[in-house]
Amino acid sequence: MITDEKLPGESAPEADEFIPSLAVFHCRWCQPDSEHVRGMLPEKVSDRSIVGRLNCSARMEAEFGIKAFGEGYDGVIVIGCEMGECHYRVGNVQAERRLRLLKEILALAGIYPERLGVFWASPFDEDSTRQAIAEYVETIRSVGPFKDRD
Amino acid sequence: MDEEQVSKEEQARKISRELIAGGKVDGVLALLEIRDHVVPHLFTEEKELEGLSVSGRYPVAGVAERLLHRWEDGKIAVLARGCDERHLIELGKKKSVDLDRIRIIGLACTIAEAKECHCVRPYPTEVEVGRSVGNVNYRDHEALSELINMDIHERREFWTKILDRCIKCYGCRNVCPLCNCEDCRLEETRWIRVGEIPPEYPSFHLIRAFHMADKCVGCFACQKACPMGIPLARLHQLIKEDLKSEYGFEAGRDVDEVSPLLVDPHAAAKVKGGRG
Amino acid sequence: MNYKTIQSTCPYCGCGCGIYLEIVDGHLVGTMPVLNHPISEGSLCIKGWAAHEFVESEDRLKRPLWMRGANLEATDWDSALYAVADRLNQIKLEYGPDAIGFLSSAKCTNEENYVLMKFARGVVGTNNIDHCARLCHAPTVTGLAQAFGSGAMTNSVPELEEATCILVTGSNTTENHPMIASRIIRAREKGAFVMVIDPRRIHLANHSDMFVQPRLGTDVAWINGMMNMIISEGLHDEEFIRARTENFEAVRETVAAYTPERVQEITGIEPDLLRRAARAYATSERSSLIYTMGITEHTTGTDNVLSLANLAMLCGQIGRRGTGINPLRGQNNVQGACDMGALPDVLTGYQKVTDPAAIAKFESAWGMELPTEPGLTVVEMIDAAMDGDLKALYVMGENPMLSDPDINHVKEALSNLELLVVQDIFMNQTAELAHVVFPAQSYAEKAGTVTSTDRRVQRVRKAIDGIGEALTDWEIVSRLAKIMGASGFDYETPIEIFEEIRTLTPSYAGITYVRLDSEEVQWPCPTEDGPGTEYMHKDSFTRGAGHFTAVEWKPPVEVPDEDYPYFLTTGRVHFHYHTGTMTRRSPTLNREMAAAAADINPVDAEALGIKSKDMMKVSSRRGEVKIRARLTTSVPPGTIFIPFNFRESAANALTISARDPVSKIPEFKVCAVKIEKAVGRRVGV
Repeated sequence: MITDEKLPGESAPEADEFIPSLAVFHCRWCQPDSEHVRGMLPEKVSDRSIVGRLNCSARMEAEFGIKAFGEGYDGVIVIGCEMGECHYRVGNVQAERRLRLLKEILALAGIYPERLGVFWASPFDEDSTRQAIAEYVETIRSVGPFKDRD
Repeated sequence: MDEEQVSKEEQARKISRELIAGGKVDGVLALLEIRDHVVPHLFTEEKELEGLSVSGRYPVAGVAERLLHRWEDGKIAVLARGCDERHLIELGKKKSVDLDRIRIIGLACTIAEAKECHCVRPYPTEVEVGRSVGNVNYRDHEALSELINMDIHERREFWTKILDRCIKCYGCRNVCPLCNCEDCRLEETRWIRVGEIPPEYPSFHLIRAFHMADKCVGCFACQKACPMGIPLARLHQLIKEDLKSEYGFEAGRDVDEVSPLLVDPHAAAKVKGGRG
Repeated sequence: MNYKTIQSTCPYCGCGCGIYLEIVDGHLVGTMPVLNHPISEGSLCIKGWAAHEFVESEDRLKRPLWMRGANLEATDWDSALYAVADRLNQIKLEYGPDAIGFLSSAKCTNEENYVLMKFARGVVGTNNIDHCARLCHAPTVTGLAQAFGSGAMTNSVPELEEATCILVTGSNTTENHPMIASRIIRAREKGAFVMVIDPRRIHLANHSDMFVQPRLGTDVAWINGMMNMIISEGLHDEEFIRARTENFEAVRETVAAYTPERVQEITGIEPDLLRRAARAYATSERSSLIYTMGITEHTTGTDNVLSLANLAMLCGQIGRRGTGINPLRGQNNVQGACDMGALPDVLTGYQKVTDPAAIAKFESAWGMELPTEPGLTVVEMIDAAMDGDLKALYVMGENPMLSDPDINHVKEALSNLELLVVQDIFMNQTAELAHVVFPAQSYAEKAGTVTSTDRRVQRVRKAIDGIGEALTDWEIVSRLAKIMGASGFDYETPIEIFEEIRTLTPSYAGITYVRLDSEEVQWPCPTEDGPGTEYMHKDSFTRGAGHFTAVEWKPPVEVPDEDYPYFLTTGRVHFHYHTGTMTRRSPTLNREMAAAAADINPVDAEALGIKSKDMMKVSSRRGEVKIRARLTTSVPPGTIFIPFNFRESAANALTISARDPVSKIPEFKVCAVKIEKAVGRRVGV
């Protein structure tokens, strides 16, 4: 499958134009309601974005993130419980290790590791969560669209 | 060199002969040389041993796994280089093979062979055939540094361009002894769209790279099997080096060494706080 | 515990990759690459890795079948063979030998093609034998034979790495000849300049230095245009032309009219782009031409091939390593089938049936009288069946009901026959119409030789026992011959057949099974202790001087008009092989592509209100198909591409049977269609 579009450099487009699309995965214990999480996303985020609920951040597989890029999403955000607060004790420890590795692999493949945002959240401090998401979205916006396929 | 090779062949045949004749194993899995080609073969009769090859290289651990899976009991010997043994250890960790059913005949690589595979450990734990060249490091500094020293845009360009050659032959996965999942993720349409040449980017190659992260032993078979000259082993090598530096982990070293990506829920959780 | 591997040759495409078949307890469990193989070098494509999957399929034909009432019923070999022998004798008596036709197989071994050819000519007495090369590289055989005296790939696959310039036209190489694409990419890594000239932006275009996109059916024009530019700039190889060729002046005169402006008008190619291509090809040290169906499957197929031959001779880019004209043959043994004379006008080694000396040689060797009038080609046999002139057709390993053009017409024609015999490994659309079906053995169950695209003769070896009561193709035909009273068919092994071939075929004379045990040999190989031939036409062409042929561009027979406003072009996909009898029974391949999809440009799709995966109805003057849409910019607006591998969306229900007058190849690559969004369910991935 060939596209006439040129291979993207990771250059930032005009600030007003690019509306990133996100794949957001959140652990059900720190954030039980996906609709609510969607509501926490900043305004300038594409309607195409998806929000998925996981039983634990450990359930986050590399595939979810990589496939998101394969489908043309610009960024992936994972929200899990703060260390020490995992409902399954060490699920988030495993998640943290795997996601660190995934970032490393993205970087080795030339994909901005910043496209993958990971935040350990408290259900009682939504402001911090909201702010973290906003910062990640801004980072993803600044590195530009991921696009590659037609 | 030739003399050495001849004596290696004789040594390998001698050991194989003894094992077969002594009824200790049902067969010896090694490489058979025909017409300048080598192919895995299960030697069950002495007269076959004439064709046993000590100079060919092809991963045999995958064949060992499939044979032991097919026959419910029985034991085989495997003429194993360093990488073959590491494959078997990793398969043992996964419980894909019962290491008690395998008798490893250790074969050491020559310097030339080690250099070709950019090997850092071209010998098995116990060497019975050939002589270990000791601790060497033929890491491909040039190619790996080239990749690391690129800025992220250049690296993206490099991989996108070269992965675009891929014709989805699955050769990399097929030759890899550690790629033995019955339901391979790469074959699931929910992860990789079907019928596309080149296959879905970056999903196809990065999903495999992630899965191999804590399993790859650096045998280079994937890169050799690729018809399009994609330097897969380079990516796997850099990922292995990351796990080594972050956790001190090496695949294929010890059957009891657990991958850092598997966190034991019953172990005391040592945690870091804050954002990942 | 019994585990072994047998080395064989992949049964799919003409690359001729070595494979190991893995056998456990008498069953095929997998394949492995052959590490130092000259073509595949330790790799395989997805089809090669899956080459074992169809062999032991439940669907394999296990017993002979014959028509009883409206159905095909199982019977025993003797009954079926005697029945066929009787009918053939009857038809021969009543209507003459030329009322009987034979379709041989580009998938069967050299030995099997030879035996069928011997049976057709010697026992039945007809030259009506042909095979699917008619549908693919017939113009190559006629065109290059006219220009050079030999119709085969002039150079070899491994040499491609040494080319400094490679021009690929009408070949979707990465998808259909992946091991050859691999060499092209490697050559490029070494600095070669790679050009892709194709109406579709194929995958290889991404890995080339220049992509040129001519309109469909304009190849003679851009090739003449290139020659015009090369001659104007004095970049042609005058020395070579003078010393090694004849008739150049005719070409010089003709191409003078193909000015850059005129060429742009016809082809749509910008003069500067074409000039760059022309200069690169002419001035590069070693330039290699690669082509396949995009050049041949036209009513001007032979003209297209002659033009390429002109171009190569013009620039002296032939007769040296890393140069040449390289038609990539499709089937694993289509080269061999041609070499074995499964063609209406030649015996083995392209010795003509109209040559009294050749006929005398074969008559003496076989002890049978042989016909000397060239026979009918595949497409002509279908026409003759339609007209009632052909009464019987014996089909070995072919499926014209899916691979021929205008298949509604083919069905009518075949239904007209008094006797249709099909010999195959699976039931297919053609076998469904047969009166008798013989079950044959696959490549994994027999021994023999096959010849790949670069003239490389290799072994297939028996890995497992024959399925059911299936016999090898050569054994079936031999038994039939003996029942019909012929002598000279008492073969016990394929080696005996090959030895006979060698005595009659100078280019194969130096090849033996013993030699093939340790190497692959490329013909011409005249002596047992001499080498094969890596590249041809080194000091002189096979015919002596290379012959230039002046060629004028003619448009395709059917182009878009008001009623049928789109171009249809057809071709293959990577994951399936031809009519899908083997690949659609292979789980790995079927998973990748279970159903057909037509490539349509997003601009056209939007105008028609079609989205990705929507069903479309595509119709031509011959028929209609329903097929789902795949949006891609690889086809230009105004053109739709449909692969021919899928019976339920058969591209050949739409194609036109108009053919090249010289080689008789149908114009698969160009016809006119209309497209509508179809009502109905969307078909899933």
